[in-house]
Amino acid sequence: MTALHELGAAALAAKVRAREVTALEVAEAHLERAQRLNAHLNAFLHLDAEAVRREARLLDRRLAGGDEAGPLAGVPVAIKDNISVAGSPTTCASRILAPYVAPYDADVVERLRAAGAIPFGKTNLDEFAMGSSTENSAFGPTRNPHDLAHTPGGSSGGSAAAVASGLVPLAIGSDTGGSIRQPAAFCGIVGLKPTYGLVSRYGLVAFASSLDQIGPFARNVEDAQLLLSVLAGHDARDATSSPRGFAATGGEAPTSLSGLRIGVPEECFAEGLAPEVRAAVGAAIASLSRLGAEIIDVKLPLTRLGIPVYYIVAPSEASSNLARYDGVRYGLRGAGEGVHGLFAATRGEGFGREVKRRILLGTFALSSGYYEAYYGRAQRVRAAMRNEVDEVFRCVDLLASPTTPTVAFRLGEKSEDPLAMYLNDVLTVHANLCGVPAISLPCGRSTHGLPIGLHLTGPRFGEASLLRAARAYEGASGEGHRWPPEPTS
Amino acid sequence: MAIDRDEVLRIARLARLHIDPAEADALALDLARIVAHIDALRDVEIPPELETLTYFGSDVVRGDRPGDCLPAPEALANAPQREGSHFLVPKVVDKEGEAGGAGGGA
Repeated sequence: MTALHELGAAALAAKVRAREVTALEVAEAHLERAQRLNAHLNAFLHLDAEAVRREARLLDRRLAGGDEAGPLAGVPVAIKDNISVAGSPTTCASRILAPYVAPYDADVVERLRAAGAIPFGKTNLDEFAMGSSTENSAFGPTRNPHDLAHTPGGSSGGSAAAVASGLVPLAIGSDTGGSIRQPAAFCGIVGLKPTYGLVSRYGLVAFASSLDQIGPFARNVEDAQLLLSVLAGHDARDATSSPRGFAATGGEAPTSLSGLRIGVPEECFAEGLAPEVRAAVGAAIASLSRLGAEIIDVKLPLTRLGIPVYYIVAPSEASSNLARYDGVRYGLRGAGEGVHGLFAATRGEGFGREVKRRILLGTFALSSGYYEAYYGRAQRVRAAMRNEVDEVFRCVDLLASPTTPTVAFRLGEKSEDPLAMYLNDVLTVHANLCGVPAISLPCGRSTHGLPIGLHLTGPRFGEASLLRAARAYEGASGEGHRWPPEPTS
Repeated sequence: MAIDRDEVLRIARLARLHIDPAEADALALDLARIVAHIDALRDVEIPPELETLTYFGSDVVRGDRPGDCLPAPEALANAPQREGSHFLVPKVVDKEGEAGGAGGGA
C-alpha cells in the first residue's frame, strides 16, 4: 500500500473526500516525516504540530457534520515564510523580523483554508527572498534532498525541498526573478510562476512589487494546476490583481500537442550552459516534437540584458519596500541615538549582507544624478523586452528553454561571489520582467543524479496552454519527480 | 561609475543603514563589480518611441473609501516599544524644529 506521504495532492484530497482517511491521519503522516527529516534539510523554519492537528481535527468535524469538502480537503500545504499566516511567525528568514507574528492571513492562505487545505508550517528562504540558494537565510541554509552537500536553489528553497522529500505534497513560494522555478528545477519537482496579477500578493511581504508573484510547487503537473486553481482569483486588496481567474481542467494528460507551436530562443542555449543541461533540454524538446508540437527557432536578443535590467529594477524597488523596517512598529529594534540613529542601527543590525547589498544598489540607482542613467533606462529596456516577447508570441504559442544553466551547485560554491550568484538567474528573470507565466518541470538528471529542469513560458494569462503542454510532456516522457535518498544518521 | 568606500557610506546614509567601516570596504568591491556588469545597459540604443513608455500603462489606485483595518491592540502587538495605545520612539525634534538626532542627515 502506498504510504500517505507518497500520494499527490489530488489523490489525498480524493481519499479525504471519500472518508477513506481522515485529515488528521494525513496530517500525522506528514508531521512524522517532517519532524524526522527537517533536521537534515532545514526546510521548515516554523512548524507548529499542535496547530496543524487542530486545523485537521476541525476539518474532520466539519466534514462529519456534512460540510462540503473542498478541492484540497485535508491536504497539507507548506507556506514560504514571507507569506502571512495569522498567529504564525513571518520572519522572511531575517533577524529584523525574527520577533514578528503575522496578525492576519494572506489572501492565498484564506483561499487555501476555504479549499480545505491545512496550512503546514513556514518554509526557509533567502532573506527577504533575495538569493538563489537559500544560503542567505539568517537561520541556516536549506539542503538539497538529492544531495545534502548541494543547495536546493532559492529563494523558495525550503518549499522546494519539503515537496521533493514528501514532507508535504504541496507548497507555495514567491517568484521575483526565478525563486519558484529555479529551486523546482534543482529539487526535481514542478514549480510555476503565474502571470503577473493572476494571484493576489495581499499578505506577501513585498520585495520588488512590479515582479513578485506567488505560485505553486508540486510533485506533478496536475497537482500544480490544482493548487493554482485555488490560489488564483481577484482580490481588491491587491491593486494589481486581475479579474481573470484560472480553472483547472481535469482528466487524463493530453497525448497529442498537434497544432501547438513551440519557440526555442537561441539566446537561451548560449555559452555557459552545462552540456548535460543542454542535452536533457534538447531531448525534452524532441519529445515535445514527437507529441506533435511544431518546433520553431526564434530570437529574443534583449534577453541578454535581463540580468542588468533585473538587478536595477529589483533592488530599486526593494530599497523602497524595505524602508518600512525601522524598528518602530514591528520587528527588531537596535540601539541608536535619536530617531535616525535608531533607524540606522536597527537596519544595520537586522539585515544580512545580501539584503544590505541590494538596498545599497537600489538606493544608488534611484539617487539624484543616477536615476535616469540606471532606473529610467532599465524601465525602458524592460518595456522593449516586453514588446519583443509579445511579438514572438504572435508566431508561437509557448517558449521552451532550460530553467537554469547548471544543475544545483554546492553549498558555499557561489555564496562569496554575488555576481556569479546573480548570473544563475539568467534564464528566469525574463518572465518576471515581462509579466508572463512560466513553469519548470523535471526533464532528466546529471550523471551525479541531480535534477534538470525544462522551462516553458507562455503569453500573459496563457497558463492553460502552458499546463497542457507540461502535462503532455510529463506523461509521454516518463520524466518526473523521483524520491531522493532517505538521509541517515 | 566607480564605487568606493566613501560612496558606499554616502549611499548607506541615504538608506538609513549603519555599515561598519570594514563592511564598507567589502561592499564597495561587490558593488563595483555589479555596477560594472549593469553598465552594459548604457550602451543599448533605445528606440525613440520607447522613451516615454513604462511597464505599466497607468497607475492603479484604490478608491478613497473607509474600510476595516487592524484593531489598535493587534497593530501594537508587534511593537518593540509602546506606551498606552502608541508606538514609542526617541524624540524626533531636537531643537528649533531640527529633525534628526545622531545618524541623520541625508
